[in-house]
Amino acid sequence: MSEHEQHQDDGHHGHVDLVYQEALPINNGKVILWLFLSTEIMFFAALIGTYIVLRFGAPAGTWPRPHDVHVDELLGTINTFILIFSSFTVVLTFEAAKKNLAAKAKMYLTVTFLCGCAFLGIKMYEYSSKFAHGIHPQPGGRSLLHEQSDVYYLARLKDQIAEYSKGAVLPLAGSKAEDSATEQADKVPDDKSVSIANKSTMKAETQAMLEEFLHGSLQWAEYVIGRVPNTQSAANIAGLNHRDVLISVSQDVYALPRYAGYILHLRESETAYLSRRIDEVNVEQSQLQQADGETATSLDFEMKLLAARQAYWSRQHSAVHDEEHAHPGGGINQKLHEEQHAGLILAMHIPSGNMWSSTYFLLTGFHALHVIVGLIAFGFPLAWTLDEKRANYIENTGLYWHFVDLVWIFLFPLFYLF
Amino acid sequence: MSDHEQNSENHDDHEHDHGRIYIQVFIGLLICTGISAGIGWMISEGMFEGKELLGWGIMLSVSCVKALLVISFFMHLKWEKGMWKWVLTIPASIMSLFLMLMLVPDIGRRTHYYTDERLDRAAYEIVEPAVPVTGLKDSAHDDNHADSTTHEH
Repeated sequence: MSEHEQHQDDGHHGHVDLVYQEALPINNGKVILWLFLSTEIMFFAALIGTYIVLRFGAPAGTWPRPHDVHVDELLGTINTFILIFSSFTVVLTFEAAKKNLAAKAKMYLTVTFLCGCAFLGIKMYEYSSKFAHGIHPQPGGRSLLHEQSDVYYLARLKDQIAEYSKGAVLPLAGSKAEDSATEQADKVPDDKSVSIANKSTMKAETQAMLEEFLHGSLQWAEYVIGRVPNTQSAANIAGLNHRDVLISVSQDVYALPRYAGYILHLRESETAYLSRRIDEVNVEQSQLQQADGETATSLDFEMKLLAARQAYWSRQHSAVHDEEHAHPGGGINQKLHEEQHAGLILAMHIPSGNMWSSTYFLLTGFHALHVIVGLIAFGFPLAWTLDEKRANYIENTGLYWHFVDLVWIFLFPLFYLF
Repeated sequence: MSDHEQNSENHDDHEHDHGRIYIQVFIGLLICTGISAGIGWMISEGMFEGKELLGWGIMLSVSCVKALLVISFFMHLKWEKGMWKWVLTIPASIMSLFLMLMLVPDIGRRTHYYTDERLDRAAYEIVEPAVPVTGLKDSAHDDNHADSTTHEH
């Protein structure tokens, strides 16, 4: 180099000595693709990082578990396998193309392409099942996710039930229900008769469970509203009478199994208190002197009241007798789903539910877009002869495809396993 | 020029092994996925009760291992020569990490500044109601017999 400089300084004009200096030891396409990938790293890191921080910052129980929002780990695992396998076949495509084995390269590329399509197909199925359960990317509108059990939530429930039971006369539990059920089963219901037909096929036992569950949810709502002064006044302004809601709700349909856990707790503390108090009153009654008639009546009255409350809680027992019902995935919603009561899914109270759905649809949606772009990029070479000349193209699209796989490697545990 | 030739020769030497390495990496990725799925299953079965953070940490570490495998072998960064690979990947990675850390005080620790009321309304499992819940149905009667019903829980 120094010799070269001297040479120029000496002033030999008209003679430019060109020296080849390698800028980068790779082709331009690859440089540009890596530049693009480094911006993609930052793009996805921002999205994934935000999700991680939101998720880790949510105290236990305030972020939906995968089963609460109908996320299927098995589908996620299958999709992970599909993407990893397609990454593997891309690498094999590149190796084959480099060795000029065009037919082999074409075969591996076809497998990759089909894997990408399978991934998108499963993703589509997952999205549609989310939509079917009332989980949408945007709060309000069609989304049935409510983050708080406030007055808006109750109003939504009331609306939904009013809409659902419009014009339908509900059969009494256990009486005509079974007769009409056998009649209805033979008919193929048209769209208009679906909801009514479904209601009449509801088993008496299920209906009873529903009533008690809904009872529990309203008690819960009363409890929450009672604790928050602002909400109470809001309820008054909105003209929401919770007894009305209770009556309309308990006539039929769905449940809010989430509250079963709370009712369990309430029942435990109540029954403990009641049995203790009844013992106390018994002792007081036995120690009572004959002259004290007024205290005797008062004690009798209290005893009756306590007995009524005890009867109430023992009725609640049938609804919340096991843990399974307390789990949102199991219990009453599941039971109704199995009995195919279509036509109504009640609004759900899932803390951070909307935050979850926003991040879920944003992240997996952007990832799916990248998969689509990858499929387009793999679509062209399917028509080519994949010899040595095309190796560069395959390598570069392959790099992009590996990056898409990389993003999924993080999305899979974050959304399916946390 | 002689350097360049040497490089490409070395490159060719590697190529014989690549097929086998790719299969090994693929199997490694499958094992990692299995570990993640296993821990996810354990968490859903309640085996990480109270220490979910540990499970999540393991799963994210496994994901990082998988990412490194993909980047270094499938994207053959391991065999690339020159500084450019570091220039393009390291700043982007550092930026990603710091972006996450920047969010921690305001977003990650948001519930540390919640009032009790806010937390109560966000909560999903009510472990212990903050006020006595006895007599929700019969509160009117309880008021009448205030002397005889003093609840303790």
